[in-house]
Amino acid sequence: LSSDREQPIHIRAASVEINEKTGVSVYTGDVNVTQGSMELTAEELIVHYRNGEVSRMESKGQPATFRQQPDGALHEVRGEALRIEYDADAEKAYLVGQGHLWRGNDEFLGERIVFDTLENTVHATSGDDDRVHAVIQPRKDTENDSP
Amino acid sequence: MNRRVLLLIVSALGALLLSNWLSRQAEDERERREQVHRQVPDYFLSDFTATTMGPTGQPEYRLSAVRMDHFPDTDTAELVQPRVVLYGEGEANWHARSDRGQVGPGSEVVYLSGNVEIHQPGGDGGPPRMLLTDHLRMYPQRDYAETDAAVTITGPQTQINGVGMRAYFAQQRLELLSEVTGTHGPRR
Repeated sequence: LSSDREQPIHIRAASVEINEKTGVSVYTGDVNVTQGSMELTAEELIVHYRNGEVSRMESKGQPATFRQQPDGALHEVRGEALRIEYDADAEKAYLVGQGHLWRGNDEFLGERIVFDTLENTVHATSGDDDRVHAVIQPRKDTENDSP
Repeated sequence: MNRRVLLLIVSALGALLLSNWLSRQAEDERERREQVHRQVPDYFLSDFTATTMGPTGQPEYRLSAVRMDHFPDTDTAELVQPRVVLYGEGEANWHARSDRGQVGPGSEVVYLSGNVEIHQPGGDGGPPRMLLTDHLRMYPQRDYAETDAAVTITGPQTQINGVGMRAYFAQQRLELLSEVTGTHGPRR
């Protein structure tokens, strides 16, 4: 939701290393992150701060998972990849490495998938020797998700 | 066995028991005196401040307290309301305080206990930080501290809790070892 960005970020993990000099905290072990309707799960989470605020989060897992409820959309968006970066400033999720994203009945696979959480749009690109796969279900009159 | 021999055996046994009892009494008395000796400090300081300088003549850390009692046999000292300052190199100093403390042999470790607070004011090195725990082992000469107790770290818009901590003050690095929960924001 667009209101997600105004919500606090809650993180649970087995351990954390906070580095004040670099402005980076590394959470490891069964990491779970929530911010409003957004949720990330991963084995490792790297949190970048700017001026004391979270600016970017990089999660790694086998796979890392992501989900969020876009404004006005019927369905929640779910995704997974080896690495998921969440840019709190730009409000975009980058799924990198075996990226897989579901939005309602639509499905996207690609080496790199960018989900714009504000615009509720998906941009997928493939690796060198691969292709993007997308399955876009025919719209029923009531749904207004647009690719 | 005639009466005289019996009498001799009984008196020998009595003497043995008596000497055993006497030596135990002496032993108890010596232990009691030593125990009393151990509880008596050889010196005490009140409202003192001690600054330790580094090889380059710069202050490394400062220990102050309302009172310190030093015990000769263990070379330890008990502290009331200790304050420790670890001088930063380029970044802000770290300030530690607690209700009670103890200095270990050779002053290598300072145990802090009871409402332990470690605070670093903000500056160009980063935001202000406050660490709260119940007890802590601090190694001032190594700019390092550790605890197995629950810890809360707060800063602007941030609170992180965990159990067990290792703090590398010179490197501005903190590790929480288990059961970590963190809250950041909301954004301003």
